[in-house]
Amino acid sequence: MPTESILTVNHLTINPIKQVENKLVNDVSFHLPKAKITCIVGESGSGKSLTALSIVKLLSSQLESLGEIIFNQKKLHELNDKQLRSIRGSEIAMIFQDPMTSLNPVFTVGYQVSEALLAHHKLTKNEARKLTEKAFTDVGIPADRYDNYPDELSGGQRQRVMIAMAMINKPKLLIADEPTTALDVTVQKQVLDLINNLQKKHQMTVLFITHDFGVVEDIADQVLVMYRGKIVEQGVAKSIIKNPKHPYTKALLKCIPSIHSKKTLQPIDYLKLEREMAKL
Amino acid sequence: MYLSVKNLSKTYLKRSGFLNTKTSAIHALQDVSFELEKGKCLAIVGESGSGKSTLAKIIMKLLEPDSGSIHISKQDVLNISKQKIKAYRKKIQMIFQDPFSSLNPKFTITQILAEPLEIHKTGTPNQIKAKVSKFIKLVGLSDEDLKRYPHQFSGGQRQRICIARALIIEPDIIVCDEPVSALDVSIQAQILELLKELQKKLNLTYLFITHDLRVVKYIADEMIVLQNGNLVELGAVNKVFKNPKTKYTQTLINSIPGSI
Repeated sequence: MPTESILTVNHLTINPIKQVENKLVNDVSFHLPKAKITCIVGESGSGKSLTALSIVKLLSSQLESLGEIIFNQKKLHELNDKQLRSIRGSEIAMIFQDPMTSLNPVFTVGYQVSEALLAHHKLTKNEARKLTEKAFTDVGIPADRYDNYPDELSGGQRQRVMIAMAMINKPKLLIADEPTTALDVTVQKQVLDLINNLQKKHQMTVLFITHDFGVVEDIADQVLVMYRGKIVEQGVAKSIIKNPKHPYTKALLKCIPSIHSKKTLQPIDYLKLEREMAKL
Repeated sequence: MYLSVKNLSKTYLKRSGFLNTKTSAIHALQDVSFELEKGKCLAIVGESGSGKSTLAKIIMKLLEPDSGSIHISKQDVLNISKQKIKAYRKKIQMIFQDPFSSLNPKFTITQILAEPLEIHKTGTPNQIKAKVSKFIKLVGLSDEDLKRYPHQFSGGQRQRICIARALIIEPDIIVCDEPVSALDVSIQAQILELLKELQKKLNLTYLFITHDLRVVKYIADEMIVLQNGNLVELGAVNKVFKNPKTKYTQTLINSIPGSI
């Protein structure tokens, strides 16, 4: 690793408690380089979200995980709930796919963002409000939206609120789980630009989960390609897209319709893929 | 022209305020006109709230427009009498976005595919059986799959069943409402390939609703872009991509992530 890494995951394995043999994530190891954007890309069921959730131990109680997760010299896998709570939302923040279900409909968005702030800092209500309003303007929401309820905002604005909430404690690591999948393309572009700008400004590390290679190309420095619970390829995003090495990555890129030409799509032939993978 | 839509408008009234006394108008479609030849694919592109689904519902006769006209091979669609509406539905079928909620979980695949044939009374039980078997193979599944229930299939396979159900009464026009948006890219590629192959084989006309411009480029011949109910762009796909007339279309094209 040329640059310093902020998060190291070693031999992460996740399986349902009652089915030890069913490895949903199978012996996954990777580093996140500091102040870079890393994308995990894969199809549904590849284990990309589980990998991200297990970093902050947010897995369902039906699942168990094994392996080491080291964040800033701290062994996250050994911490108890109380210690984890002090890290979640302050040093490591998360944004999820659907901004409507991640916000509570009966509280104002300003209250919910300031709640994230007050959970980790001793501040008066007024100080919290001021900081929250500043966080709003930083993500491009007018400060007077503080007293609005989630249903009074559009999908893109709600996702900006979620980003403000994640950013308010100046996290070192931001985990974003498909944050733009539910948004229209023009809004998606705005949100991606926003995450990109905030990342540069705060020199933050971002772990970005997506299924869209276009998004990877736009924002990622490093990419991890996951298939059936394993990382099959990793490296510099631009060179992997240009010159994929692993048969799965190659096959997946051939499934994406091009904006330049009417090339024929080649759906993945899984039997052939398994044969090629067995040879590796 | 095979399909022609002229000056279509639809306004929804939204009630708000104390005891719903205030009404405000939402113009879902304003003066939309376009034409399409038989055997071609027209993409209807727009973001959420642009009116693309309203347009599809009106063409399917699931919704009445306020004004305008629709003709399919010279038949006036909006003034079809009640007796003839069933015959119209035989001509035009729809494929929906979510293959999980558009199949009845209590029906076997045989029942799902036979139902349209029974409704339109198109033959003896034996003929229906033969046709069901023919169409399940056409979409790449097999006779053994006919005994199974929807929950036993994956998302891509279910979308294949939806396509077979839409095609089985041999319609001329298929309205596809975001048929690949809920699918993974590898499955999306399979379904897009299938739709293209079937279009060639059966000379189908597609109205393809989507927000994904990559998909448009891949499958469509012509495209229209809707913005807040207004038609802002109309033309051949290649021309629109190269030389969009409006700023909004340009913004949409610029917003496609990546350069692949």
